[in-house]
Amino acid sequence: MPIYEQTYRAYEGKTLRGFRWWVMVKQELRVLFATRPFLYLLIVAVIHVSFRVFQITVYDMVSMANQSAALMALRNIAMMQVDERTFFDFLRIQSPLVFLVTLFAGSGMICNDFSDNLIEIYFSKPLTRLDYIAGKIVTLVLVGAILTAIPDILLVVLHNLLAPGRETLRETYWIPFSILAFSACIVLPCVLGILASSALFSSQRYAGIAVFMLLFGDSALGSALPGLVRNPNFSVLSLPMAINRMGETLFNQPKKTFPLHWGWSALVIALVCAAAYWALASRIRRAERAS
Amino acid sequence: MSVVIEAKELSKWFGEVVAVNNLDVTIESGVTGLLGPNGAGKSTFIKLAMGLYGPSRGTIKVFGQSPRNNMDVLRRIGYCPEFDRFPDNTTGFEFVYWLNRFYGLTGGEATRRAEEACERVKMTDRMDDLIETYSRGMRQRIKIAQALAPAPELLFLDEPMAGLDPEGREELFALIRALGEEGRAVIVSSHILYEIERVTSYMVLLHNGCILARGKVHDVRELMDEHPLAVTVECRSPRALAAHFAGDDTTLSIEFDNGRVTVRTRDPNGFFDKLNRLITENAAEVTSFACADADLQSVFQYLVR
Repeated sequence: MPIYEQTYRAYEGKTLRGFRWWVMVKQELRVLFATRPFLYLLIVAVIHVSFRVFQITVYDMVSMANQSAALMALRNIAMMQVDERTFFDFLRIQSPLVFLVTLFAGSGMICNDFSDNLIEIYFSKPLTRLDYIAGKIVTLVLVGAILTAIPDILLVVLHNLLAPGRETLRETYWIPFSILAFSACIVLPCVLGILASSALFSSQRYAGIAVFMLLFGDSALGSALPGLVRNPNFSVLSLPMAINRMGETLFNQPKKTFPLHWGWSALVIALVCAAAYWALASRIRRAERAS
Repeated sequence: MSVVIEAKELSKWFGEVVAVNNLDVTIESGVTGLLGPNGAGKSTFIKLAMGLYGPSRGTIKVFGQSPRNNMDVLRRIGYCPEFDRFPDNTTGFEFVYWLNRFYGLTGGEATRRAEEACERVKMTDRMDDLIETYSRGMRQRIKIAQALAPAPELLFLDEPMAGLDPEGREELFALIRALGEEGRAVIVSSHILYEIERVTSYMVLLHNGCILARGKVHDVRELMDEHPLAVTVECRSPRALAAHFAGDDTTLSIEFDNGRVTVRTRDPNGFFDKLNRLITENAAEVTSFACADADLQSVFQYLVR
């Protein structure tokens, strides 16, 4: 009869103490990229990127060929001109798509775990609540980055490759930093808001509708209030306007949104992020339920 | 035998509902049955032991440490929950593999262990199919596989026999016994005494969050010997089936009702052994059977009388 060791035995696996959330990110991304509607939305994003590639290629080829007449003609077509505004516009136009894609990907991310009782199985593994939250946030931030920062930075690189020289470098070296900052302004409130909604509501549909209604209401408030009080600065209460104002500052664009200092916009964005994170984290911490 | 779980004055309540009430219990390695009707506090006790719930009062220690948010303890635990829902678009293998990765296993190691676990629960043939195509028994097996895969020292199986066919149950009984013989601590919850008896001789009987009895199944069994078990069998030829049990000394009564026969017996083990044999031989063309008092409520009424 075999004699078995009855005392505690050492754990056999290698430990990934600091990066357990990364396993969750990989798992979530695998599920997302296996979902057809998600891929269709990404394809829509590619159409815009393709147009920008075409725009930069044409502009740079013309400018490198020293065809001043053609270049002048191109510069007269605002849509074809390449400068910091091009990269700002790219992100601005992508932002509704970021909202749609993250809403699709994130609205069911937590409520489905609750309804499927997967939350229980996750926390029976060596996974902290913080790992779980970080995994979900990083997944959606990566999705957001795929739509915003990554292609936009690649467009800057393309611009430098097609029109190499110190002049281009001097004009664009700061743009990737602005892109990263503006992308964060677009993606973070979106991701945290959607995840908070997913944590607070019991179904993916309700979570999605709640975020949509909240954004709609906020935008309506941001549009109506400045007219009512005759002060355009009240537009800062609209999250999309606040984000746009941040973009104008980061890309040295004229203040078209509202004249208020950008710090107020940053504060609104930070408050939205903090409130959403608080709602998300407290819901996950309260994951105890009578069974 | 080493102490794996030690609870002292452990209580857990949810609002005004007391789920676990002042439990003092120690559980050692080997297989332990957690027996009680629905709402007895079995699942809550398991969740307290895994740190999923924090105690409202008292303490619980697993491997000598508090399990709440304790990654060192969780790394040594496997858990098969009673729920029957899974993520969409996921194969059985992927489910086991990804949960393995949370233990810090590398990709290769997690793959190897997931395959081994699927093999152990006899799911190798279907492990690459989507879980939504599985039968209830298969889903149960894959849940057990994910609990087994990281080779935990302590395994919690919450109602693991639910949904399994007789053959699957027998295989699972054998698997649980083997895990206990390997030196692992296995805690199996069920509301059916017969299932617990098949896997262990030691059990903790819970009722309304309190321990009603604890010790060898045989000792508890003796207390219940005079309490008959009623089993209702649905089959094509109830009279032929009844004939097999009519001559047994332990059979107290046989009743017929519209294609069903209800047998009251004082020897459930002997009864189920015989019934299993008859089903295998297809002697009476049995379509279903159920314990009329399987929820133990009547047993408890007897025990607390």
